[in-house]
Amino acid sequence: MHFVAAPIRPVAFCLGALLALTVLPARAEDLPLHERLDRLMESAAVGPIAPVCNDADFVRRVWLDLAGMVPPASEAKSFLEDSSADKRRQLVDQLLASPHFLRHYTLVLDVGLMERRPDKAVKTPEFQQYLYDFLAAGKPLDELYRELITADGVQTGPRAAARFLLDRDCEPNALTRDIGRIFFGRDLQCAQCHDHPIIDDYYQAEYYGLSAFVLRTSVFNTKDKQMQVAEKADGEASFQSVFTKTGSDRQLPRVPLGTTVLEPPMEKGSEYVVAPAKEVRPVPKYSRRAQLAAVLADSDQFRRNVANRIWALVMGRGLVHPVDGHHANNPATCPEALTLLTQELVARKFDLKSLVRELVLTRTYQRTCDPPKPEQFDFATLESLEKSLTAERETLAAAATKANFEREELGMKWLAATEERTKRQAELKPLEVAVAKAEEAHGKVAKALDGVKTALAKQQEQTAAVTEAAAKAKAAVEKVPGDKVLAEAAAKIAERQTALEAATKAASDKVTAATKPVEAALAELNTAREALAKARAALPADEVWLALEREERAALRNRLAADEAVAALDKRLALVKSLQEFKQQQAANPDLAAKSWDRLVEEWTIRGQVAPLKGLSAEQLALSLMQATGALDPQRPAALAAVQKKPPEELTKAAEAEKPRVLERLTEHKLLEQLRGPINVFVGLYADAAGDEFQATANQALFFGNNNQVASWLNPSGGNLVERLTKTEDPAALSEELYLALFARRPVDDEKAAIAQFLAERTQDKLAAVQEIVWALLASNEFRFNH
Amino acid sequence: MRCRYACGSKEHAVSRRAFLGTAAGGLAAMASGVGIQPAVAAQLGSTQKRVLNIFLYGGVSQLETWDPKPGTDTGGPFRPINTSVPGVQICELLPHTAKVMHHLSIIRSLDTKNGDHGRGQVEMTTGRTRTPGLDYPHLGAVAARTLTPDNFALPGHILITSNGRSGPSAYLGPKYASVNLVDGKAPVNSERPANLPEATDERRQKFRAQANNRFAGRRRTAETDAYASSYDQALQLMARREVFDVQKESAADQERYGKHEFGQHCLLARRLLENDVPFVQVNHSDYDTHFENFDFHIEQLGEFDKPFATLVGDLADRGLLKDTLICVMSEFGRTPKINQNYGRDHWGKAWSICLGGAGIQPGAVIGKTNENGTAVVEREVDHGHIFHTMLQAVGVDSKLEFDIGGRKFPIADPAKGPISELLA
Repeated sequence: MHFVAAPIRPVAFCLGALLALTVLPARAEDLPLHERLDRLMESAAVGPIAPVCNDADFVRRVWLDLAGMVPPASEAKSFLEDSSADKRRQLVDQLLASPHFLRHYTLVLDVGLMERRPDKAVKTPEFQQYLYDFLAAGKPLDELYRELITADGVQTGPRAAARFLLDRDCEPNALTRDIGRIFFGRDLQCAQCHDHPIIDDYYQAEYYGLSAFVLRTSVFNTKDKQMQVAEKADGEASFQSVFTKTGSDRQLPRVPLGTTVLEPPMEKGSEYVVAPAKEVRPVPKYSRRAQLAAVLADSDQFRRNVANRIWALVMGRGLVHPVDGHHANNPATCPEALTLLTQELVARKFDLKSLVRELVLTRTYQRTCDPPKPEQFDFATLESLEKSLTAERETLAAAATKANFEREELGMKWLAATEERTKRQAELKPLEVAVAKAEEAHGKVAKALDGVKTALAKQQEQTAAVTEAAAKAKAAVEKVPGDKVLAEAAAKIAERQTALEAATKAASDKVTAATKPVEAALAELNTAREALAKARAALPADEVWLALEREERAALRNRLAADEAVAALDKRLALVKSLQEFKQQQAANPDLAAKSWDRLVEEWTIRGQVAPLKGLSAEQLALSLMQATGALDPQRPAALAAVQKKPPEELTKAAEAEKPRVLERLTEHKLLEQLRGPINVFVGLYADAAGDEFQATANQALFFGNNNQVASWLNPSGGNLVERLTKTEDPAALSEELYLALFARRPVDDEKAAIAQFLAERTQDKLAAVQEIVWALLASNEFRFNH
Repeated sequence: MRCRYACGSKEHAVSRRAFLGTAAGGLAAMASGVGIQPAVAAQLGSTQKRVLNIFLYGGVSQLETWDPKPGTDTGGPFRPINTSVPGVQICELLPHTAKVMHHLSIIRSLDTKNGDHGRGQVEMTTGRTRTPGLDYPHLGAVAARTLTPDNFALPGHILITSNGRSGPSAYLGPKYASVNLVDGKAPVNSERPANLPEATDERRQKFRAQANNRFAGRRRTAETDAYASSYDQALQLMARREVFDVQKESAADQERYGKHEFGQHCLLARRLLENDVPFVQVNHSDYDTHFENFDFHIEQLGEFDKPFATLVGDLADRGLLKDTLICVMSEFGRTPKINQNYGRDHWGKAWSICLGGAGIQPGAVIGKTNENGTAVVEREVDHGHIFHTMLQAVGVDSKLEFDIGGRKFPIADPAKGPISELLA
């Protein structure tokens, strides 16, 4: 931790911070997480820090971010009128405990994991039901990732969880890329064909290390056309750079920035629980996917990615941005904050809700989006800030050089050990070949011996039969003396016996002769086997190599952190320079200075010093429109009635005390089902495939203005907003109700006046006038953005 | 063990600089907001460049169009005819096209290594070999993003179709997805509903603008500007709705282009291009002639030839051709071998497309197939090269990258480049 000369902050905020400090415990570790995060963020700030927002902004913001929609006018009003000091915390806890949170985060996680892919094996409603239940059960987030990796759509895990794999067709490159991005925050796409040319730490080996976990996985189609996940027990990742022609024949599984997962030797013929065959889904004894799931939560990069993605969900932008662009030259805006959040994620056992709660309680989250003014900042502080940052940079750069050097050294060491290991393993090759050859030679002579042995046995059988016949014939001749024919026959048989005995002797000699080479071959085989066993025993133990790799990986992560610290500091220094430039422009060229200031405001927004304007997601927009216009009101009782009409076991079997909560949860999910139609209309028009890039299109505006979807919500009915407003005589009261419903705030005087004037001109057609006003404000920026 | 080399291709160098740039560089990039990248924007000249892509669905036969092989075992029954370019012959099924050939060029050496409809359609229109886990934007989305001027009232990426398939915009986002003129009709929701008088709309739009002005007093960003102006764009589009109405064209032109669907769609395309729409694609079906290849090509090309040639001629006469790139493409070509049903099957190994207009050498023939058209023997190219060539032809440096929310995407396949000898 380092401290810099604190920039001057707006007075109101400074006082608040001082007051807060006086009642807080002295040791940083004892402070609540949100306070610790704020202190890190504020100490990394360059330039003004905006104060926290007013209650109206807060209630709308937190409703949108935790409940996925604007608050009902009544809720907004009572929050504004609530005078308790702790009301923000109370509201946060109330929303986090409500099923709104489950519904909203179901949609948010769905977009994050599936990125609006079209449905294939598992339909979106099933997947969302799975996510909803997962969240409702309060399970840790790492468990979700594990389930997505291990689910096979038939035996292991809920079938819906297999959507992650199946709807990507289990295609190894698609899975490698998306697991790299979504699980580890690293888009390794470029590293599929070569080490990344721009990003120093994206290696081809990293891509194939990850790919090795999934390349044995494929889709299995059952006879009735159900897609399931299959896995084989063989298949290795191999690659060659298109540039350097270097590569690996067998890249073992290894998660990004993690260590190799070595595999237990498998005896030939017993690799499977269910062996592959026609129309059979193979199941290996040793599943590489299961291995990935097993090592996931221990991966530093996985933890860091999950922490950053949770930050991004709450704040609208990751500390590392884009969220799949983790690398040393793309530093977190405040690396210390990300490190702390990552540690806490692990300490809190991947409890999503607990982290979200801390984040919405930060000042960083609660800042106003109103841009600071130049006069609120004391430019005189820049000089000392620059000095201290420059000095700090030197220290950090030296540390980075050292970390780079150490890593380079360990890297060489590990590389040498790996080469040695590969070489020694290669040395086994001739011995293995010798064993195989000896096995083959032994097999050949043994087979020959078997042959002559079989021939001898046959001869012996024949001889025995003829010997017996000869003796019987001899006895017959003695019993019937003088029978010439009989005597002749007996003599012939005796003659045959002699011949056969000679042949048997010959066969026996052959056996004797064939036995010797077999013995010799066996001796040779044993020698070869012994040599191989000895050489294998002489190999350095896997543990030694693995320990070295662990060291190298730790040094690499250390290096990345050190490089990141320098890069993050450089950004702060650049910001100091931009501020100084602004100061010069201010005198020389006010127009240019104003533009510069706007750019600085955007930069502070990125750095959490000013709140962003976040465009509502397609889902937030659809639900907020329905909430604000009152279209949502009749939906909730309908959902409740539907659940009660056909109560699921979950409800009937619940303990009496639990029943209201279960009912509430089931109703919220039913509501989501009911609203899927309109939500999908908005998703089709307003959503981006990746889900996070704000786009405004003429198509959207045409829809908003001319399609009946929005217009239908503005028809007066059932006490909805337009009906209520139309019946309200007093324009001021009308304005107040309208602004609370849409913006969770009361209108200012000039807004009230504008509405009063608009209505005054339209006494003959008040309904139309009200519809025009409501439409106009729904279409306005203030509604479209979370501020 | 840091990466000590690079692709050697230009875009890596470009993005490395952009990437390693200081915060100042970051600020400059930010200033462009959600609009066009400065590097790309700087390329835009004062003259509006446009692209017309005609997609012949099903896979048109190269032998019955651009690369006839008379008198060979694969040639089929049709004769080649002379064109307005001395020494260049095409199939007799394209007599009108032959007369405007001096405006066009032919590439006879495509080997796209694919015989699958879906894949061919994606690869030819995105210029990329399909990669699992990654979707690329359609040529129309790329053209719209790079060629649409600021405050342009009409959509930048228009697809005239009878089947409603859309041109995907992938990472470029919904702003650049195709606006479909299904059956040649105006875009959906572009008509003000009957129960919404224009005066009402004007009043509420004014009130919206006032509310936005008030909010801008709090905070104004590139995104709030983009959202506010999307409503203005919608209004402009509605005001210019007649641009989509082919009935506004003269009866004589209706006659010249033909009353059939493709004729009307070509006339509509002319109307759109005249109004500076940066990208228009017209689809024509159905060329999947596994049976009776020759009869079907008489029929389909009989429909294609005259309106296409009329459109080329009109664009040239009106001075639009120098800024309008024309391409006639397909998923793939058809087998030289004639099957037992007098059909030809899917074939990506040696086939042709036609390019012309802006930035393209007129009257050129690029590449060559062997005697009976079974293999490329000279200047083998594929969809990647075509994509680069088309973009370069309208002045877009296809070696640059898009910057989408901090992620870099090469505009075209970095492993490929343009067919430079075809560029004017």
